[in-house]
Amino acid sequence: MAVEDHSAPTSFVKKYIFSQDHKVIGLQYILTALFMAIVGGWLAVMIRTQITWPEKAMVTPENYLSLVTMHGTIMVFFVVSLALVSGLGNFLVPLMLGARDMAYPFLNMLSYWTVVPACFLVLVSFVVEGGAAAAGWTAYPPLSALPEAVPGSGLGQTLWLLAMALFIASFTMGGLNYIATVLNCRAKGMSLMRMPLTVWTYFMSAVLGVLSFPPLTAAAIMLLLDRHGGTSFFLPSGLVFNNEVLAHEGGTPLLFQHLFWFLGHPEVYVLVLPGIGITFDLIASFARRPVFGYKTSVYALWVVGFLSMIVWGHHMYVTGMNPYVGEYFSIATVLITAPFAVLGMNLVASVWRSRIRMEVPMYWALGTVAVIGLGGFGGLFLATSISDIYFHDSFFVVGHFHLMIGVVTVLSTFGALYHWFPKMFGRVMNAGLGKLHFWLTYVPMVALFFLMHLQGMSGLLRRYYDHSIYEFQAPGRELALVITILTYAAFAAQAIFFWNFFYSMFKGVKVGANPWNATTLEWTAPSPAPHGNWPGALPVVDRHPYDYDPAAEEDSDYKPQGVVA
Amino acid sequence: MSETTSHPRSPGFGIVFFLLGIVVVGGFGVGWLPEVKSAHGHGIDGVIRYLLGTTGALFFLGCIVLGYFVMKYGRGEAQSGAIVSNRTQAIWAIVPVLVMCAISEVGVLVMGLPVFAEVYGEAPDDAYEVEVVGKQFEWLVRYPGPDGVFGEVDHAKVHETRNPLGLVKSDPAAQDDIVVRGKVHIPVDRMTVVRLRALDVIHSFTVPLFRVKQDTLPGYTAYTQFTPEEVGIFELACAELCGLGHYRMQGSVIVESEESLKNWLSEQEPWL
Amino acid sequence: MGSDPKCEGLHAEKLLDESALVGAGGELANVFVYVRKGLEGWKFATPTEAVQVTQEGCTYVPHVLGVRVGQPLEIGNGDPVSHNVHGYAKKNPGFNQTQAPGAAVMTKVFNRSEVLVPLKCDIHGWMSTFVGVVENPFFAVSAVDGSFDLGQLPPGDYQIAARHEIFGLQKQDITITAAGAQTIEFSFSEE
Repeated sequence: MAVEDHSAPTSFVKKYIFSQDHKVIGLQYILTALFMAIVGGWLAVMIRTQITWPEKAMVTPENYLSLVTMHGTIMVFFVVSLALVSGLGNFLVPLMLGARDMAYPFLNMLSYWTVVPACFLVLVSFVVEGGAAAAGWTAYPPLSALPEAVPGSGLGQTLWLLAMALFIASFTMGGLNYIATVLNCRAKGMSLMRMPLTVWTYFMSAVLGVLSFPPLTAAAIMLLLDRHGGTSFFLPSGLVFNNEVLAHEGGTPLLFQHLFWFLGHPEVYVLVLPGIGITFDLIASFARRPVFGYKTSVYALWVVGFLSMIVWGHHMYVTGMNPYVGEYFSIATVLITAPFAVLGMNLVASVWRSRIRMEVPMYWALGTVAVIGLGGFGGLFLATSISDIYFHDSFFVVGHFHLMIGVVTVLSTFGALYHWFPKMFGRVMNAGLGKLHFWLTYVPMVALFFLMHLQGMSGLLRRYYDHSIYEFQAPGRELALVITILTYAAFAAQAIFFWNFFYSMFKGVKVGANPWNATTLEWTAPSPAPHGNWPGALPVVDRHPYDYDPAAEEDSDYKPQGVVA
Repeated sequence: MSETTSHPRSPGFGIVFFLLGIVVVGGFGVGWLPEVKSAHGHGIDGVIRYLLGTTGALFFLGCIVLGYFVMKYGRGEAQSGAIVSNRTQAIWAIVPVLVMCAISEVGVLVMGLPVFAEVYGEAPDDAYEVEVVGKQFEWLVRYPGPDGVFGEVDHAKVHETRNPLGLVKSDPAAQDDIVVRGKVHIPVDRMTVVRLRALDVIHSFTVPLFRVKQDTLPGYTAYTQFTPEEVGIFELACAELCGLGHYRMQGSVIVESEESLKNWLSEQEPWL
Repeated sequence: MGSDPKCEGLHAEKLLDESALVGAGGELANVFVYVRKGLEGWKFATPTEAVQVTQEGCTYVPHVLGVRVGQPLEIGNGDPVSHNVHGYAKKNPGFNQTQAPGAAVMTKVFNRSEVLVPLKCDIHGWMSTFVGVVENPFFAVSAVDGSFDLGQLPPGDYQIAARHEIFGLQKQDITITAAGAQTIEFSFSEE
C-alpha cells in the first residue's frame, strides 16, 4: 500500500494547526502533554500538601478526592499517553521506518483534534457544580454512578466520562495508524526483524491499545446510561441513600471492574513498553554496541503483550471475586516477570563490553534501567495474591505504579526529547542544563516513590484525606514530610527543562543530520526533517538497526542501517 | 587499547547504581511491617519476607552489575568481543526466565497456597460469626444474638437512627439481633468469620495488624476469616475509596477472652 | 454514640433519636405544618433575613424548620469536627459540601417550594435536619406538646398539610371564618 500522498502545506494553518505532517502532529501532542503535565503536577503538589499537613485543611475532603482523581486521569491519559505514545510515537515511527509519513495522515490529524476537546472537558470539569470527578481514576461505581454518593459524581463525572470517550476514540485512531504504518510503510529492506526496538514497542503498544480499549468504551457508555438513562448495569438492588432505597436493581459493580481492568492492565504496557523501547535505542546509541538479545527482546515483547491481556484480575484480588479465579490471575501475572526479566537483562547486558559516551540522553536511559528493575520487582508483591491482601490499596501500590507508568515513562520521555530534539529543530538542547535537570528529577522522583513503598509496608492507606486519626498509620506518616519536599523539588526542577526546551528551540547550537553518530534511519534525514522526511529518495535498509562496533576507531564505529540513494 | 577524550565520559556514574542498591535493600531491611497479630498473618508476612529476600537479592545484584559495567566501560576504551552468537543471547534469555519463573511461582504456589487455604478455606464449625456492614461512613456490626442466627433484613426499612440495618420485625431470628456502631467484639484464639455487606457503595474491611482486607460490594455478601492471637483493641479502617468521609470510616476490633465476650454480649440489648 | 470518638465528648448523655419524639400522651413533636392550598392568589414579600441552622454537639439544631422560597438559609458549624452538609433536595438542586470547624457559614437559597428537604451529615449518619420550603408565611413546627400555631390566616378555604419525617404527609381541608381562632388536629400512626 502506498502512503496517501499529500503535498507540503503552504499556509500557516495547514502547516502548524490542522497539519497532517506526523512530525508536526507529534509536536502538537508533546506540547499539549507538557501543558497538561504542569496541571497534573500541580495537582500532585496540592495532594502532597494536604496529606502532609491535614490539620491545615487546605482543601475540603471532596475537593481532595477530585485532586486525586484528576491527577491520575490527567497523568495517565493526558500526559504520558499523549507525550510518550501519541507524541513521540508519531514523530519517531515513520522516521525510523523510512516512511514519508504515517499511513493515514488525515486520520492522524483527526486523532489529535479529537483529544484537544477531551483535554478541554477535563480542565473545565474543575469549575462545575460539585467539582471535578472524585471517584478515583478507576471510577468504580456505585461511587461514580450516583451523584448522592460523592459531590464529584455530578456533572464533573459526566464530563470525565465524555472526555474519556473522546480520548479513547483518539487513541484508537492513533493505534490503528501505527499498526498500518508499521505493517505497510517500511522502507525497502526494513523487514520486521530489522525494526528498531522503539518501533517494535510502539507496535506492541498500539496492538494492545486497540485490543483493550473497546471494553472501556463499553464500560463508559454503560456507566453514562446508569447515570442518566436509568439502567442498572453496575447497580444492584438495595442501594440505600438518605434512608431510601434506589430504584436500580440487577446490576453488579464487579462487572465494571472487570471491564475497566481489561483495559487498565494492558494500558500499563501501552505506556511502559515504548519507554523500554526508547531506552534500548538510547543505550545502543551511547553504549556504541549492538543491543544485546535483539531477537529475545522482540519475543519477550510478544510474550509480555500476550500475558498482559489475560491478567487484569490481579487488580481485583480482594474484591470478593472467587479466590480461585484470583489464584489463576496470580499464577499468570507473576509469569510476566519472566519476559520482563529478559528485557531487563538485555538492557543491562547492552552496556557490557561497550564504550559509553555519557551524553545527556544516556543519563536518562541508564537511570530508567534501574527504575524498571525496582518497579518490576515491586510488582511481584502485588501480583502474588497472598501478599496483595496486605498491600492492596496501600501506598505500596501508589509507589509501585508510579515507578512503572510514572517514572519509567517520564524518564524515557525526557531521554527521548533530549535525544531527538536535533531531529525536531536542527539544534541540541543545552547539555549542562540537561544534566542538572536529570539529577534534580531523578533523585527526588526515585527516592519519593521508593519511600512510598516503605509507607505501604508500614500500612499507610491510599486516597486518605487525613491519616492522622489512625494509630496504625502513624509510622508511615513519618515519611510524609520528606516525600512532600521531594515532590516539590521534582516539580520545581521541571522549570529547568521548560527553559532549556523552549530556549534551545530557537537559540540552541545548530547541528547536522546525525549529531550522535547513531545508526537508525531517522539520522539519515536532514535535521530538522522536512515535509516528506527525505528530500529525495527514501533510504534503503541493508542491515540490522544497531550496527555499532566498540572495537573500531571512535569516529567510524557505526554503520547506518540504511543509505539514501 | 586506545583512549579518546573527544566524547563525554563519566564512569563515576556507576556509583549511582551501587548507592541505589544499598539504599533500597537497606530501606526495606529496616523492617516496616508492623507486628502481626493473627494466625494466617504470619503466612502473609512469610510470603512478603520471601519476596523481599529473593527480589532484593536480584535487584542488588542487578545494580552492582550495571554499576560495574558503567564504571568499567564508561572510560572510553575500545572493547572487543561485544558481538556474541545468537546461542549465547538465547541462553542469557533462558536463565532469567527460569530464575524468575522459579522465584515467582514458588511465592505463589509453594509459599502462597498454604496461606490461601487458611484465608479462603472452609471455616471450622465452631467459628465465631459476626456481620459487618459498610455504609457511608461507618461500620455497622451485627451479632446474631442468643439464637445464633442473623435475622432477615430489608433495605427498604433502613433508617439511620431507627433501624440502621433494616431488620425485619416479623422475623423471630431478627428480634434478638444486636446492632452496634463501629465496634467488633470477637474472641481471642478462635477463628472469626466476618460476614460483609454494604448498603451504598463499595467499602473495604481492613484490619492491618491482622493482615485482613476484604472489599464489600453492595449486592454481594463477602466473607473474611481470621484468628486473632492477642487480646486488645485493633483499628479497623476502610481501604476502598467510598466518598468524602472515606478517611473517617474508623472502627475497632475488640479481641477479648471468651468469657468477657460472653459477658459483653449478654449486656447488649437487641436492636428491635 | 456513633463511631466518631470526637463527637462522644460533646454530649452529657446518650443522644436522643430525634426522628420520632412522642410525648407521654402521644403528642408528636417536629411535625411541619403549613398551608398547602388556598393562598394561590396572594403575594407575600420574601424575607431577606436569614433562617439559621447550626451543627452543635454533632446534631443539627433545630431538627425541623421552615424557610420561605427565596429566603436565605444559613448553616453553621459550632463543632470542633468537620461535617458535610448534604442536602437531599429533589425539586431544588441538591448540594453536598464539607464544613470544617470554624469554617464560614454556608448560605443556601431554595427557589422552589419543597417539603421537606433533608439536610444530612454523611460522616455522622445520625445527624439530620428537615427544611420545609414554602411560599407563604403560614407554617409551624409542632412543639414537644404537639401544639402548633399557624398564625392569622385571612378568612377562606384552605388545605392544611402536616408532614413528619417518618410518618409522612397528611392533609385536611378547613374553612377559616372571621369569627376567631380555629383548631385543627392531625393524628399519625406507624405504618
